[in-house]
Amino acid sequence: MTSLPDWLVERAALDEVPAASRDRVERADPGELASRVAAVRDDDAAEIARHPVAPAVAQIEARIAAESRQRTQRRRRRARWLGLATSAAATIVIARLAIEGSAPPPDPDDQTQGVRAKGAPHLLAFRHAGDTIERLAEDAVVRAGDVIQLRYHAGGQRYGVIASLDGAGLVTLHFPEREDAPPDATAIAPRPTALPDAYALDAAPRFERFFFITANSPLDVSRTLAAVRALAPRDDSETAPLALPPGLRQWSLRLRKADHPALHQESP
Amino acid sequence: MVLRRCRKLLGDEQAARDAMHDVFVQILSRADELHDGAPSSLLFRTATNVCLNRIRARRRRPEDGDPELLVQIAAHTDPAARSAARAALDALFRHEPETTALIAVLHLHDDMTLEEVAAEVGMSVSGVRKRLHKLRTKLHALEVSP
Repeated sequence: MTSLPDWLVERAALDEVPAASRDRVERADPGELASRVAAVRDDDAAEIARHPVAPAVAQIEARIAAESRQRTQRRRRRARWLGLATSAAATIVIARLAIEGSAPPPDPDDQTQGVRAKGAPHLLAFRHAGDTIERLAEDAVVRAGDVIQLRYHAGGQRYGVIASLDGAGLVTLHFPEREDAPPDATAIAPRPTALPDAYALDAAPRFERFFFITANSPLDVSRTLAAVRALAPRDDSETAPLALPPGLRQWSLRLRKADHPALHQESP
Repeated sequence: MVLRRCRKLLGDEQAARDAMHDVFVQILSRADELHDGAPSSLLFRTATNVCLNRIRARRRRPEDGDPELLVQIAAHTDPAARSAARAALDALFRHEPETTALIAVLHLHDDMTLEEVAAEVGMSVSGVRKRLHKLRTKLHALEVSP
């Protein structure tokens, strides 16, 4: 007879013991199990008596509604920026759009050079400052708290993953939303597209490097992130390309943190 | 079940209640992806992830508390002193996928067998074993390095 862990007692109380655990439950002391299941059910009843479900459900529903409104507001905010481009006052925005419409930058990490008819896949980074935006070039100096908006150009590729690596070695996924997203979720739009959310820089030192990894078949997000994570502990993580399987293309943009401007002239 | 899980991982009543709300917001926000079947596994897994994220956030602000749960994981992995384990944890998990932390908690903290962990996270048993082996190797390397 063995004592069961709490999580398995919880499953037993709900009659949801997984197949992989049935032997374990059968080997358990039935008296002890019955007693612990009864305790769980008593605790549930007491909790519901102390804290009725309805107010909690209302709070949760309100939060879901609020988050949905925030997503809508973000979409509207992006639409406002596009609207500004039609006004004479928004010269800076027009200038940015003109830059984005120009030829793409060189693609030093492109492993399949020669196919350039649609330009190389690349990212553009913009810094929000009030109602204006500023395009950030390679090695632009940024500070903790700066809000960065990324925009990708697919360059004829159909799938992509966008991630960043900072000077503290932390890797952040920007697209798709989740590391456990299915490969189909890495599909990217053929037109230049801004990511749905901006990104506030933290106090990580030295640099922030954004990677755009693309392919013409769906990408495994976790494996792709593993390549970025593998680069993180290396001394040359600021400059080295990712070790990627054949057929994948990569492009990176490095921003310098304000406390390390001395490295500004270093080439990628 | 969700509140008890959050209490156990976070050790704080108010934080556990906040986390419980996060769990249901996360799950209900993706209601169109839910399917019929035993929901306890999804609730348990989501609660664990929400709490781990809160513990990570605490670790970025060390004045807020002590990452007891992750220290327990390290203590199971090797009987090193708690202080040494705590110092190693940042490096241990920094470059690992989030699922590795989940796997470590389920196996080392919740006493799930490899088969149970595999079923819970939707991986193969060998995949789970490899992740845990890699974590142990990494912890050992951290401890022997100067």
